Amino acid sequence: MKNFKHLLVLLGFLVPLSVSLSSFASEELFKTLENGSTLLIEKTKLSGKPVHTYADDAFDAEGKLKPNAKRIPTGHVLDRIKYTLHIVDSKSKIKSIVWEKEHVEIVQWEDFKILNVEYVNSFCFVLWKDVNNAAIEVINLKDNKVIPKAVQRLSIANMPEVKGGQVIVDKNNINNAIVVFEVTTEFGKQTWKFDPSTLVWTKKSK
Amino acid sequence: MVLKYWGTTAAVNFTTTKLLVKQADGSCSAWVDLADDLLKVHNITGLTRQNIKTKDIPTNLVGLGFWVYPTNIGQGGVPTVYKFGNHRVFKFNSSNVVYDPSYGKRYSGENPWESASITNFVYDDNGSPMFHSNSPSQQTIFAPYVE
Repeated sequence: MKNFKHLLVLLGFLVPLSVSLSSFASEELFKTLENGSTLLIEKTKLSGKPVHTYADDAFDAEGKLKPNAKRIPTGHVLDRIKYTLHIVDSKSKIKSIVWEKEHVEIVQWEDFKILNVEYVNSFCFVLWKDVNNAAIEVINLKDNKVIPKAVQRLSIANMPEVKGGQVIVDKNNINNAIVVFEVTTEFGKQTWKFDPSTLVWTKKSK
Repeated sequence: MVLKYWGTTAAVNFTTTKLLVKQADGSCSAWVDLADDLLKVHNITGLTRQNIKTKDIPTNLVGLGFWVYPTNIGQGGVPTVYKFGNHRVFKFNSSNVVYDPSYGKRYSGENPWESASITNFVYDDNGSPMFHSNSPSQQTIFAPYVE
């Protein structure tokens, strides 16, 4: 009976461990950040999501979608891919799932990449790109949710590719946590400054 | 051996002339790369590589990509993939002519390419996928890119 109890205890340990490991089976990126934390990106295929459309008269003369335009189901379903970002803190060794992003599965979404992740105080900043788009997203580490107002899509004329980017923290003024993101492109560099009190990004002029 | 455009779904990783020739299969980036290399061999200039994407619709529809007519014949046969986030072609600098090496076809401009190629546009509508069928007005953006 004692051995049976030991076996149950052992199984109880192994089952959650195996679940935990299998959840990382599809991870694509594993790297150590400059601050000593480890970043993991997990990619999971999700079940389909229904697709809708709009009638042609849902758009105004300028081609903009009219407010309250009625969605029409098309009967199509699109598979989606979910990217989940995990950060393992170097001190606490606690795994945090801080960001989940869904993408419609279109071929070139395979090019989705996290270019940079940094965190300052209660904010985590993620710079990502795919073949056509780039954005900076801000996650509130208190509830692990993206702050929608703070998402900054980067739109650069004649510039489909973002080559890289980094967070530069003003260490002399860390309480204000003003963060500057520099996005390097093949046609030059953009610099964006984030104000946590207003959640607004401002593009710095050259 | 016939070189193919999207003969297999692994073609997403085949983006250069070298990989296209090695795997006999490639994406639009690989076919543009091959065409560019062949133009350089013959010292032909005056064409620019162009990336094509779906234009956003104000104020909340973000262009994700498009579906090409599934029956359009590409290099080496009908491609296995027709849902794309972007596409890559050439434009002549001295005119609006578009050359699409993946399908081996030439068009008099951007909108003629769009009309002959795209059946549906795909958007992100506040987190939900949205389709809109191709209409006469141009809904794609062409932009030069450097590899």
